[in-house]
Amino acid sequence: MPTADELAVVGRIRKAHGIRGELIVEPYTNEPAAVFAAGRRLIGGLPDGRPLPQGLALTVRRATPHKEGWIVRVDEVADRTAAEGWRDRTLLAPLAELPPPGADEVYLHDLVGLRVVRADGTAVGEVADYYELPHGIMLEVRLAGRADTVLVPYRPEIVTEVDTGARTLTIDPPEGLLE
Amino acid sequence: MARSVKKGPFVQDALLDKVTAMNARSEKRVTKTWSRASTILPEFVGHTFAVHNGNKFIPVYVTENMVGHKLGEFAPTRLFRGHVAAKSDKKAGGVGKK
Repeated sequence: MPTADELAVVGRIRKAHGIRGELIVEPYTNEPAAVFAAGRRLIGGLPDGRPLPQGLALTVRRATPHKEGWIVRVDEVADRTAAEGWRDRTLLAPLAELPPPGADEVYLHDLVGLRVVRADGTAVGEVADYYELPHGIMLEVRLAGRADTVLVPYRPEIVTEVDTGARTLTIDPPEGLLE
Repeated sequence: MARSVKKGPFVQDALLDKVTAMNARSEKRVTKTWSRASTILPEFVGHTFAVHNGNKFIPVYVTENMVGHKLGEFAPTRLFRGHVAAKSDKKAGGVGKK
């Protein structure tokens, strides 16, 4: 069984669906079709994303897109009563089994805590959080020496480089963005 | 009922004037606006607007596929703060990575 550090949350169970133990899952992955493919082994997790103490493994039998989520049927959940007990739980998968980030991709959780600098190396602040808005990712940056935060769109025109090794995120903000 | 085609899309005059002036000077600076009902015109592409959501200004970088929508559509009045603290498999791309 992989440790908590080797696991990533791939979905949150919203509620039970129907009477056959199906689950409505909100995907926390960019590739839900691959992650919820039939036969895939997933691990049950607590609402905060930690694996269940007993390390319960789930085998996907079938998954179909449904509105903004997926209807997932797993072998270990037989009926609606059992499915109700999974409400708000998370589904995890080993990072090693997930598609790795592409050449220009980063995990969203890796962005939190990055030091934000301008192209000339001037410190701006630190990424405090991120939001997934209708038009893309928005970073909440806590400005250096100030208690307040500003929002910075995660766009190539503004965020010019992300260096997860050096833990820095370089921005070229338009005038007025950091006010 | 839909807005009459004869009138054209609604854009706050002051906002359009600001963008037209910035385009004439080839300038890019954040434009603060409360006009959430203003339609995004092709002239707005590449500009960043700070759109008020009732509480604070949300920066909106305008791209081509936003043309025809309203500015307010991209500045939600509630920010969802509920994602799990643990690692997830969600990725962001399109930015230079080292």
